Amino acid sequence: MTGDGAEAFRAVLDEHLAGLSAPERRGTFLGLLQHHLPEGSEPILVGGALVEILTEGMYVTGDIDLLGDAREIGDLLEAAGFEKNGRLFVEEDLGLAVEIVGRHLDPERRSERIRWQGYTLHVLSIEDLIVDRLCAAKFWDSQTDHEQAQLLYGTHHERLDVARLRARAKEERVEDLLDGLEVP
Amino acid sequence: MPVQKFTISTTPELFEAIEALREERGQERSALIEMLLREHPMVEDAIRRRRGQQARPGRRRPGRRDELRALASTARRQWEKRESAGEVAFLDR
Repeated sequence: MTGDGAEAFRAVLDEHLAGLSAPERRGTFLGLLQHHLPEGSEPILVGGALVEILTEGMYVTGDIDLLGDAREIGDLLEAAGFEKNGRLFVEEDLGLAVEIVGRHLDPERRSERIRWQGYTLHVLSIEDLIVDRLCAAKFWDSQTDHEQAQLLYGTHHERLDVARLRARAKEERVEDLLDGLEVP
Repeated sequence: MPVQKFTISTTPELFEAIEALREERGQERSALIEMLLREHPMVEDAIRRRRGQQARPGRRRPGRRDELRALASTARRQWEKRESAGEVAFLDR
């Protein structure tokens, strides 16, 4: 990414994020970021910001967790004015905190694409996202993550690949919690 | 509410950030740190567990189950409405 590219990226962030709510700002940021990275190297959204998008803001998070090339993404963010602190990149004026939590998806997990307000976002599959939350609930005793799994399941149960969800839950030893999730 | 005192050490960066917040908000340092800690999900969970309300999945506080069902139901309707309008879509399903 050239300096001009970073300047252009910063300019579209300033233009498109102004006046948006926090959840809209995070989703729009991701769409713009993916648009400004080379095709094939788009970061994958994981974690709470994805829960926030998929549950229409019923769960609200603080930061944006991404899988991707930390150098490529980090260089772009820093050039666009984000402050680097370890794996975290913060831009206070835009109200954004981005963490590059890893490079690749584990082979057993899948990504998918969603269209969101005109952007194509590369995200962790809902099934894997639910299983991630159930693992945190079971092994870290996190009630918040259990509630996120319930919200995701309740919101999108009709479109889930149930066989794959169950298989992943079995692999991660969280079938018991999966069985407890309810359809509204 | 009775208080317990303890001393913490922080990095200069965190200390300066807390001091800046304290000045901006005009709050006592202890009150500010208590508020910030209480807002953290991990602390929130720990407080709930301490109160014995929501120790583990399956032992949620009364009424929370209904709240979650209502939130999921609302989220589902909103998603479907936006899906119909072409604003959101799963492209690989």
